[in-house]
Order: sequence, then C-alpha cells, then structure tokens
Amino acid sequence: MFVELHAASAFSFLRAAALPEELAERAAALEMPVLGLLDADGVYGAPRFHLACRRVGIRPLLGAEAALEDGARLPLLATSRAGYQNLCRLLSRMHLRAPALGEGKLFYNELAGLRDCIALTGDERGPLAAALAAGGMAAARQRLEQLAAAFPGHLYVELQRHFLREQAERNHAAVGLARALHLPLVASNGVRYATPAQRTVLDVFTCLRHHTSLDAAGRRLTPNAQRFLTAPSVMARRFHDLPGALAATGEIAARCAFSLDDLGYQFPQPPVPAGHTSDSWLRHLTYAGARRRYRPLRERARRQLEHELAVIAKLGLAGYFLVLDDIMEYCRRHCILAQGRGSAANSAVCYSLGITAVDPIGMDLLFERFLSEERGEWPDIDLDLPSGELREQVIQHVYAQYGGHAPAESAPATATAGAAAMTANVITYRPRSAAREVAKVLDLPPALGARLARVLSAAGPPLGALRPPSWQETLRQRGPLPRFPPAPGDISPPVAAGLAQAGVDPAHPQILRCLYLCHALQDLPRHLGQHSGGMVLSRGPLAEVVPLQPAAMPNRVVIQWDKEDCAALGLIKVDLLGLGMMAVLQDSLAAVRDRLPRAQAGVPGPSGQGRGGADQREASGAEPPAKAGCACADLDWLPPEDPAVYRMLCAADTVGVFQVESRAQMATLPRMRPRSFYDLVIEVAIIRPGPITGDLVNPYLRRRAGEEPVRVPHPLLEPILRRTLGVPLFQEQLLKMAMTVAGFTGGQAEELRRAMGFKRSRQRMAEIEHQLRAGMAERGIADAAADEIIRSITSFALYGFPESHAASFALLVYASAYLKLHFPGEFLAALLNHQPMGFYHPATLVRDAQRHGVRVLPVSVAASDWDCTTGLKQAVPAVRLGLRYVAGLREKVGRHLARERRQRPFANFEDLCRRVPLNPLEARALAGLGACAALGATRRDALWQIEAAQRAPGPLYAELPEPRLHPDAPSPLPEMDAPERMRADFAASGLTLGPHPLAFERQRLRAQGCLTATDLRRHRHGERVEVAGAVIARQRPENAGGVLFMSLEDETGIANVIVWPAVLDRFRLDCLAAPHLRIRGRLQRRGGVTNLLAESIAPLTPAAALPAVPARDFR
Amino acid sequence: MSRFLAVWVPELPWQAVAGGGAAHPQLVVECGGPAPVVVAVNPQARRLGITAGMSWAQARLRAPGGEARERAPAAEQRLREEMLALLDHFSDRCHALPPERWLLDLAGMERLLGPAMEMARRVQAAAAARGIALRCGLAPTRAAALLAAHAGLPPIQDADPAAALAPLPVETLAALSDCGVDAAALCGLFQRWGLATLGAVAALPPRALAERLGRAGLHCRRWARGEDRGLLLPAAPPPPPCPLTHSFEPALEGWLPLLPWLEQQLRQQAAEWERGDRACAGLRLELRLDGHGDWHHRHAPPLAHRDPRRLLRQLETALALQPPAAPITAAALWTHTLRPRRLQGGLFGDDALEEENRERLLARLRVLLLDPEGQRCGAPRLRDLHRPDAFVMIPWQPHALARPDAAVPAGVRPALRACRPSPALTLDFPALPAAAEAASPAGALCHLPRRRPERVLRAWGPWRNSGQWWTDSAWSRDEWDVEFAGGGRSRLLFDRRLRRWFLLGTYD
Repeated sequence: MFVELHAASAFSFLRAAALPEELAERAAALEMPVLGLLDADGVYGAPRFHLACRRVGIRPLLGAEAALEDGARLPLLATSRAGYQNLCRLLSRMHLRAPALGEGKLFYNELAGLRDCIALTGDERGPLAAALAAGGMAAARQRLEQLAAAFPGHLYVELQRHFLREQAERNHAAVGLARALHLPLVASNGVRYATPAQRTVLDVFTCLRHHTSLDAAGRRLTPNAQRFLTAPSVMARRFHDLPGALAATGEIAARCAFSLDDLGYQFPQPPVPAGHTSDSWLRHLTYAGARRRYRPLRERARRQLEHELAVIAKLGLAGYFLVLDDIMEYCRRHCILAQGRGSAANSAVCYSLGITAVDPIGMDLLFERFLSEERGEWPDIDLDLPSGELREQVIQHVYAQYGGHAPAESAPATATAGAAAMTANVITYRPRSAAREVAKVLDLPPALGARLARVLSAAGPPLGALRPPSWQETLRQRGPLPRFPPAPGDISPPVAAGLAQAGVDPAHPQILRCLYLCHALQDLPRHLGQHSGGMVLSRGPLAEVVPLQPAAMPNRVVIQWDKEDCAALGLIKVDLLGLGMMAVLQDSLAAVRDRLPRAQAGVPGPSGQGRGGADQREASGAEPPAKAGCACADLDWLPPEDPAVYRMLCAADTVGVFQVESRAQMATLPRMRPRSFYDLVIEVAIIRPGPITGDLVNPYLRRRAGEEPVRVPHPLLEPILRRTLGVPLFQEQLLKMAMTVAGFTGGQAEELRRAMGFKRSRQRMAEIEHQLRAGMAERGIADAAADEIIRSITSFALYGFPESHAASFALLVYASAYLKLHFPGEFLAALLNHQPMGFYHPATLVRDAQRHGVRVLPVSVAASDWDCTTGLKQAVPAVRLGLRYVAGLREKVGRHLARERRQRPFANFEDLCRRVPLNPLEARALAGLGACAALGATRRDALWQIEAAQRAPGPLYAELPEPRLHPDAPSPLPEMDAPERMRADFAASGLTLGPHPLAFERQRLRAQGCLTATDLRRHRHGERVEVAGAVIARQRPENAGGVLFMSLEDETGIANVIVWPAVLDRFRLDCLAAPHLRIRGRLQRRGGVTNLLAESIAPLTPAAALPAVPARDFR
Repeated sequence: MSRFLAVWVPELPWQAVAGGGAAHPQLVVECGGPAPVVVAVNPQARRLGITAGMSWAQARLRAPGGEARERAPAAEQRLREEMLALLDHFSDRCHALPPERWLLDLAGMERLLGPAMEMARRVQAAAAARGIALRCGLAPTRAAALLAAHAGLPPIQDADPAAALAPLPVETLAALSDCGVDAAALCGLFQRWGLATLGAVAALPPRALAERLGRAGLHCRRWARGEDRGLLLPAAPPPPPCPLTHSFEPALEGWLPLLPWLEQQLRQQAAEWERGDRACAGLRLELRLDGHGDWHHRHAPPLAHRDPRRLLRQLETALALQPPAAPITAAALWTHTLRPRRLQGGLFGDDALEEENRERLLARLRVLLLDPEGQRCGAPRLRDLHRPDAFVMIPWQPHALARPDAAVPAGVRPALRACRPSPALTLDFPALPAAAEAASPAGALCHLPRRRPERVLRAWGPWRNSGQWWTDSAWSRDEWDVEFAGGGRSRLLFDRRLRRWFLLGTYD
C-alpha cells in the first residue's frame, strides 16, 4: 500500500504547479485513499484541498514544508489538532520575526516544540540531503540524530526515486543511516504537479522565482518530469526492494487524524457589563439607538427590531453585532466617517446601532436578504471608511482591541484574549499577468509581451477549448510527452484575430509556446496579497487556527487564507473598506466646519435623519435623530432633500459627484429628474448592466415621465413593483417576485440571490429559470407574463444592485452633490487631494469648478502645502493647488518644502535649493510651473536661475546665509507666451488654470465651422454639425454592442459623442489614439440630453502643437 | 572654405531594398521575430505618420494600402560599401558614423578634383546614378557639415558658419547626440527655455551656460555656432576599403588559377597597410560561380597582422577545404583593418611565429574534420544544463580558459570513455515486461556496429533526463549502465524522442 504524503500545490507559490483540486482529483482517480499536502512555509492551500478531498471522497492530511535556518526544507505533517496548532503557531512565529517577507526560517532548536507532528527528512532540499552535501555521512548522521531527538518516534527517513543518479546515491546513504539509527523509511514522490505535462509550468515558475529566463535558468530547472502524482502500483514497483518504506506511508496516514473540520475556531465575545449577556446587552444598545433614530419608536419599528433580535439570538450572532458596534463607536469618538453598506442596510438593528444610515423600515427593505435562519450563514457587513490614514487608524484599533500581533505592544489592558488579522487575497494569474510573465520567461521583447497581454486580456483564453493535457489523457498516453507546443489551429479564433490585428504572427513557434503556457498558468496562485479590508477575529489565538504573516504594508498581519477559504471554514470577517468618496466627504466636512460657523455654513446642527425619502419617513414615522456627534463624522448633519441639490442633479451637473458622474448616469439624470432621496436610490441602481440589458431602463423612464401607463406583469406583483412603476430594478424585488409568483422558498430565493450576486453565473440562472417556470405554471401564470417575469429576473444575471446597497450609495450621492453645490471649493480641494478616483481627470475637475465660480490658485512655493487647501479670495471660494500637483515632486520633499516655507519664507532660489533637497527635475518642474513667482521671477527667469542654484557651491560655502553671487544680468531667455505657459502647465502638473488648449485654436476652428460644446445646445435634433475638442474619456461598455462613448472637452464644456461600431472601424486609429479630435456627425437630442452621433472623425492638427489633455479611457 | 563634406543616406534600409520612385507608401519591416517592426519608410509613408520603430500592425492601420518589404541586411551592407567606394574617390579621409552617415575631409583635394561644391555635386550625382538618395552638408567644420546635412542646408562657404546655422530648429542638435554629449536630452531643456533655433542657443552667454549645464552646455553652444572644438566623433571602426573585385574571362576552372590574383591583391594591400600603419583583422572572399550562385569565406586572424603569405595560406586552405563547385567568373576580396598590436619578443621564441603556427594547425584540423565554419574545431565550453553532454564550441584562444557557464556538478564519477559521436545500437529484447516504466535493456541482445552481438547481463537505471522543451532542440533520454555477458560495462542511451538506442561510452 502506498499513499502520497509529500505533495505540494501551487499554493507553495512558484514552487509547485498543480491546484489542490487537481491533486485531489488525480489521487481519487488513482484510487489513493489519502493524500498529504505540504505547501511551502504554510497551509495556504489547505482549505481548498480539504474541500476538494471531501468532494472526491479521499482523506486529506495536512502539514507544511518549513524552511530551516540552514536553507533546508523540512516536511511536517500534523497528526492531531494540537499538532496542527503547534505547526501554525511555529510558522506564524517564523514569518512574523522574518526580516523580510518570505525570508522566515525555523531554528533547529525550535523543532522540539512541534509535538504531535511527524517529520520526514525531505527531498534533495531536505535537511538530510543538505547535511550529506555539506559534511558527508558524519554530518548526515549527526543531523538525523538531532531530528530524531526533536521528533521522538515521529521521524521518518524519506526516499524518493526520480531516476536521477545523484538521488540514487543519496538514497543509498539514507538507507544506511536509517538502518544504523533504527529509523523507519518512508517512500514518497515529492509531488510538485499532478501530471507530467505540468512540469512546463513548474519550470516557468522556477524562472519567475529566480528572476531569470528559461534559456538562462540552467540547472535550476527540474532535470526531468517525474515529480507528478504517481499511481500506487507504480510506486510499489519502484520501491519493490523496500516494502517497509511503502508500508510506512499507510502507517503515517493512520497516525494523522487531524482534519480542518476540527479547526476549533470561535468568534470573540466582547466584554459586556456585569449582569448582561451578549444578547441582552445588544438588545439594550439597539433600543437605545432606536429611540434616537426613530422618534417616536412606533410599533412597526419595535416589531421589526424584536424579530431581528430574536433571529440574531437564535443564531448566536450577538457578539458579532457588538464588535461592529464597538468599531462604529470608535469611529464616532474619533470623528471618522463610517457607514455600513450592502445587505446590512436591510437591518433595523444595524440602523439603530448606527452601523448603517438608511432606515430599512422606512424603505421597506427585506431583512431576510441580510440574515435568515434558513441560510445558516454569518451575515456580511461591509463598513465604508475614508480611504487612507483614517481607515488605517480603524484597522489598528481593531488590532489593538482584539489582540492583533503587529501592534501587540500597544494593545490595551482591556484587550480580549482573541486575535485579529487581515484576510489574505490570493493573487492568481489572469490572462494579462500570465502573458507578461511568460513573455519574460521566454525572452520575448517587453513590447511584444505587453501586446500579448493586451490581446489576451481582451480576447479570453488563448487556446479555446484546448486545455493542457488532463491527467486522464496523460494516464492514457503514459510514456510519450504531451503535445507541445499546440498547433496554430488550436488557438481560439478571437485570440488569433487579436494577435494578427496587433501585428503578431499567431503561428510563430514562440508565440504558440507562449500561448500554451499562458493557458496553463491561468488561475494558478501567483502570490499572497492582502484583502482590501477584511479582518478576521478569533476568540483564541488566531495563530493556532491559521498561520499569520506580515503583510507588505507595515503594521499589518495577514492570515494565509482568503475570504472564500474563511467562509468555507466558518471564520468570520469584518470588512473595513476604504472608499475614496468617504475620504472626500470627511475632508470637505472638516474644511467646512473649520471655515465657517455652523449656521453660516448651512450645516444645520443635528437635524438630519435617516434617509428613507419623505414618503418613507412618513410611513415609518421616523424623525430626525438627536444623536450627538461631530459634523465631519456624520452625514446626518447635512440638510435633507435640498431642492437646489436636486435641481443640480436634474441638470446633470455632476462632474465629481459620487456614482452619477459617468456618461450613462449624466445622460439619464435629465430624463429621470430626481426629486427625492428614493429617486437617487433608483438612479444609482438603474444604470447597471442588469437593468440595461434587461431593457428595463427606458420603460421605467417613460412611465416616470407619464409617456406610457404603469403596469405590472401580473397582479400578484403589484405590491412588490409599485414603487418602481412596475419595473423590477432591485435584487430584493426579484427575490420577492420569485417567492410570490413561483413559490420559491427562502433557500431557493437565496440560491437565486447567489446567482445574481457578484460571482454571477449565466448557467446557474438558466437552471433557476426552469424552477421559476415550473412554479409559475403551478400558479397559472400565463406564458407572456411568465416570459416577462423571467426576462426581468434573468437579466440580473448580468449584475444588478440590491436596494439596500443602492440606498447606502444614494446617501453618498446626495452628500457629495450637496457639497459640490454649496461648498464647491472645499469639495474640489478634497477631490483633488484624493486622486486618483472617480471618472474624471483633475484637469476636468478643476475646469468644472472654475465654471462654477471657484477660483483655483496655482502652486506656489510661498503658499502651497502638500495638499490642496481652501479659503476665500475676495469672498469667492478659492482653492490653492498643493505641491502634490507638481509632477515628479516626491512627497517627502514636498512636505519638507511646505514645512520650511511655514517656518520662514524663501528669500530666493539659492535659499530654496539650500533648504529643500530638490533634484534637478523637481526644481525644473517647480520653475516651469510658475511656482516660484513669489520669488520675483517669471517662469523663464526661474528656469534660468534654478539651474544655477541647483549646482551646489560645495560644502565649505553651503551654510553661508548669503546667496551665491550670480551674474546680475537678467535671464537671456525669452518670456513664455500664453500657449507656452499652457504647455508648461500640462507638462509639470497635468492641468492648467489658464485658457483651455482649444481656446487657442478657437478662431481658426470657428472659421472652419466647428462648434463649441455649448453651441450644440442651440442646434436642432438631426442637424449635421462639427465639434472639436480634447478627448477626456473613452468608454466601451461590454453590454453596448461595441459602441464607443467619448467625451470631448473644450473651453466651454463637454460634448458627448457616440461612435457606432462601423464608424469606429473606419476611424479606429485616430479614435483610440489621437488626443484631440474633430468630429462631424448628426445631433441627437432626447429627453434633454444632447449627443453627437459621429459620422467622420479626424485628428485635430492645430498650428501650434496642443498638449494632450489627460484622458481616462476604458475605466 | 568648405573643408568638410557630410553625407547622410536617410532611411538607408528602405533605400537598400526599395529605392525611390514609388508613389505609394513603402515600409521596410524587420521580420525576424514574432512581431514585425518598421525600420524605415519612404516619404509617402512618413507623411501618413509612420515612423521607424512603429509596429507593423500600427503602420498597417495608418497605411492600409502600404507596401511592406522585408529588411535585407546584406543589401544594406552592400549599399554602405557602395557608398564607401563612391566616397573613396573624393577623399581617403573618410569617417563612417554608423549607421548611415559619412564625413569626408576634402582638404587638399580641390586641386585634384575641383571645388568642394563641385565635389559635393558629383557625390550626389554619382549616388543618384546608383539610385541612392542622399543629403550632403558642406561646411568649414565637421559639426556644421553634419548639421547642414541633416537640415538640408546649401553649402556653407563662410569661415564662420554660425550665421548659416542660426535659423535651424534646436532639435537639429540631436543629430550630434553620438558625439560625446547627450545633445538630445539638452534639446528638451533648450526648448523649455524657449530657445527655438540654434541661433538662440549660440547667443547664450557662455559663462552663464557653463554655470548651469557644464561642459555639455558649452559643447552644444559651440555646435550651434558650427564650431568644431570639442566635437568628438564616435570611435567607429575605420571604413573598410572598397572590395578588390575582378571578373575572369574566361571563367577560371578550379581554384588554383585564382591564387595568383589573390596573392597580387594581398601584396598590394599589405603595402598600403604598411604605409598607413594598419593590419588585417579580417577578410572576406566572395566568388561568383558560373550558374552555381556564390561562394564565400570569412577569416578573422586571432591577432591582426599584415603578412600577405599567411593570409594567402588561410584562403588557400579554405578553398582546398571547400572547393568552388563551378568555374569562377568573378572574385571580390574585402579586408578589415585595425592598428596592429605590438607584440613583445618572447624570451624563448617569437610570439608572432607561435601565432602563425597555431593558426596553421587550426586550419589543418578544420580540413581534417571537414569543418570549414569551425563548429567542431575550437574550445568546448560546458553549458549549465542537466544534459550531460551540453557544450558549445568557442574559438580557441591561447590565453582564455574555457570556463563553463556556471559551476559544473562535481562528485565521484567513474571513468567513462565516451564515444564521440555515440554509435547507434540495435537491441533485441527477449520479452519486454509489460509493467516496466522504461524498457530495461537487461537480457537484450545488443548489436554494436562492426562488433559481435553481446547480451546485456545486468542493467542499472534508467537515469532520466529531459529539457529545453521550449525550444526546437528539446531532448528526453534514459541512460542505462549495463554489464555485458562477455564482461565489460558500458553506458547506453535511449533517446525517448527518437526511440533509438546509442552507446554513450565504456567504463574503464
């Protein structure tokens, strides 16, 4: 009997080539009842391996191959939960003390702590082989004795046979030593891949690990393709002379009884006051909050709260809510804007605790979408926090509060005995990354690699239906190598066409090899990253549940599993997500508070309320809360339902406004004409692929405009679809529809929700469609109505929004629109300080603000901070651009400059260059941008002077206060004219505060009949016109049938252009590459929205070269 | 006053394969790799925005009807040699600035060939007659001549060329980027300074400029004024002289009648080398054969010398080793020269003589091995691969050790007398065990060429090796150590791709 005990999966990160699932399936096919997975330095692949083994009916053994102080790798297998915990603890210690990521090592004297673990002596990189190579038999014997002492009765001498001469010599020595020391032998194949064909992948990985190419890798590559999962019968023949070594595999398998089913994980229980349980304390906090939120607290709200609290108590989730409440309380105490999003907004408990800002009762949201007994899952609450430092502050609070490892020194005395760490994010190979790395390994030119990456990321799998040979095929073939490289005919047609279009020969042998490898690398793990905000909390030490390791960011610790693994094994995480707009709102509100007294600022004090729309508030009886807080940490401070805000939204004046600034949203707003908060909820949800492809947008807008009657597909749906005029727009509506018309149970509805969720699946939707039809047929719903209902539901397979999520986002829409309207200076400064974010480049944001009366002041070494700052200039809102907008200026230097100028103004260029360590490029950028105007110099003077000032006079004179003497003659350089200034602005900061580049060409363009963006409004529908402008955005949504949407900007505003595929094909190059275009076409005016349907496109060739206005394309 | 003539052949790769005259866009494309790249274009293509360095796919989008031709390095080389031959008529002081510029010093040539302007005109006419379009710059300084050639200026007759150069755009300075200063980078700075012309750069105060940009700034200023001081020409190899060509009428039967012509040419060349203190670092002989294409041979002596006898012997050996297959109708001989290296006389003998002896020995070995290209005669260098016999041949150098790419695995190795090349074997297997992972030769009857068959008594292995699967030279092989019934142990190799057996060697 032989079972493989020493297999590694691709979760050994570039050290092995098969997914855990592949290994499990192949083991099952080989009728191997047990398989041991020992990934390098961790248990990264353990959850997926555990689940896969359970699926195929084999028993998984878990362990790891740990790096030792002398560079050897020691295979370890856990025999029990205690052994697993010991292993995790030791691996965590190894990683957390490592000087750099991935450089952790175990010391030999630590190994004695690994009780309940079995050690093998390993392969050619094992401690025995290392000792043999370094010191011969004597050293090897000494090493074995040391290991035997550390693992009494738990050490096996491992033998592998890969048909290598050196290995045979090593085995010979190992057998002799084992017999001399009375140690048992054990056979293994040191598996690194499931099938021989995957050896190519391992070789590629080896090159990537060593940063080399296949041609240069030499003997770092494997000598043959023998380290695949081999059949027990074959292994039995291979080790026929050592039957004891074969039998030992079964013996070890029998000793290893640990399974991840017995992980022993528990969620922490936060401390509660004496006399309270978690449930009673949660009830207390909930009602305290509800009394603030709902004034008065009416029966309907009370009933809902009771229902939710009962479910929470039944599922034992009170601790989870208390932890979240604690985090929210911390945010409130520290003036950090925070808001729950997603399905949490369906919960009145969350609303009462202040986790969410939307009243679910007022909006009639479905609690079961958030939590249900039937589902038996932990709820998923995502907290949106301002991205950047404030989010980091909250994360560090959680580490400190719940005993995280990195900031352990700072943990308060009240910290629980639990632990916290970030969830990992396994970065896998996608077509783009695979193409880039494979091209490097094959020594293809970088430009060609980039082109391949572009083609593959757009055209999908490179080899179509052809996969690398499966293990079944390989088993059938036995001896011969699999077909490599593929034939040209194997390439999928879209990839072949894409390559040909990109000027790459798809039949070239190197390209064929490259495509094969790209295909083989798909979905294999590349490295471990950090989840954007998921934190796992545990009651016991988390390091006993899963090994911990430092993240790339300082003071961060991550576990070795990603969120899917955590969910599969029941580990509970809290998502602390960073949202750029939250940071913008936080900064804007803080700036408003700093600048103006509250009353003046239009910030009306604590009079806000939960957003549920006026009608919904009436329905629920909700009143504005009287909760204390600070203006910069609570959106409730904003006055609700400001008509001026809605007027602005109706006019689609939404550049910079959260979620509604895209072309599609701006085109919908004038037709939608939002008048209430709930309209914004719909606006957020309606422009999504689901409603668009389901053809639900236009019916809703027409009904809203009274252009067609409101009707529902079936009378049963009337209460569900009443609010959205008979058109289903939210996931919750679809669940209710399915339950109402097809009799879906909660579980079936949950299945439907998953199919509509983030990992949407057309195939699952098709399966559900059958169930829907059957259910509707039982209720006698006619074919036409059934078809309509089905179409509505299945279209959401292409992604639609839940109502609760839309409501959370709508609140941010309202808040950002309010600030843009009433505090445009503060809003612009905050937006500029948190770039990149949103839809538009800062140049466009600045011009939009200027059109709204904001005075934007240039960067100045005498006035700018690193960030953009706000103030009033002659009673006009003003924004001073920060030094962060000087291209190439390092942040450290920029902040140093700002500090220096606050201490003492710069006297001249010498002074500036002496006090601030500017490099030549930074100095030239500052001078060229006009940032030195305060030193009494024009831009060219500054450019001239700063070159001399940059050349330091030497250490002897560096400290002299007097400036170095220069020839006093004025600069011999000519002063910049306006176009030159504009070009210099773009070169040094990517934007200009002066005239738009098109303004310099206007006279010529006007003479040629070119209109401005605002001129278009004066022309009639169907008229043929021509416009010219800088392309600031190109969009080609997947569901738009190849239509390209472009935004052209000129000095008057933005013109919207639609390019149909036929036109795009004719003018593709100019359309996609030229920074400035002249477009002739027919004007389309519909519902207050003006578009130009392009007919001919040409690059704008001005007399003076215009700088390219930065565009945000295909985002 | 104009002393220097700069000649620039723009888009040389295009001119080499296509030449002028086409009314439609033409491109020359480098097709070596999987993604062709444009290397040169004609004016029509340039007008459409196509430039060298662009990918073929991009170029095709701009000029869908454009004609693409594959780059022909041989034709480019021929064109360069043609240019050299042409320019050699005007001055023997000719600097080649690769890849497509030449600079001639015409001083003293006026009395022989007429005024400099006339010479420039004749260069252009001669080039035009050969179908080569070029630009000439005639100026009293080298810098000015080069700038003028790039800008297409008429001849500059003034002693001070600054005025003539002043209106040129500042980017023209980039043409001198390979002359010791990164002029292209400074052009960007000058443009930021608002200096649009060379005149504006020339007018900058030198001291202030030196304070800001150092010597590089001063160089650029001098060049903008057409001053030569400090102009460093790249250390390009001296231009090879024009080929010594001769047509044979009637054609020469065999190669022996060719030797007198070769000897005469080499002696003449040697005399010239002696005068110019040069030595032969390489030569190339091309023979045009009657109806059988071309015959060619290259020779690069380890040390440059100017001994015509040694060179002739090399050519003689090459001709004997690989005789031309048809009568010789024409011959061309190119030589490449360097400054000779001075050898110190050795204590125990003449180093030069040693050199010659070694060269002769290597040539004879190549004759013996039928290895004219030196692929099997030289020094082996081990490659860092798992394949045990992986090596490359490098030219044998007396003072350079043939080091492997990396440390070669050490360890105890029994003495194996390797067979080179490994003879193929036939093995008669009595019955192949069905369960064998590889066909073990134990028990098989082994047929070695020209030997009696021997039965394999025992076999150890297989030792399996495979690699380079990403190239066309992938290998996969099993090695076996065998003991024959009649005594003796050998190493056999089973090539898994060829499915054939070989004898690798015999253990001593």
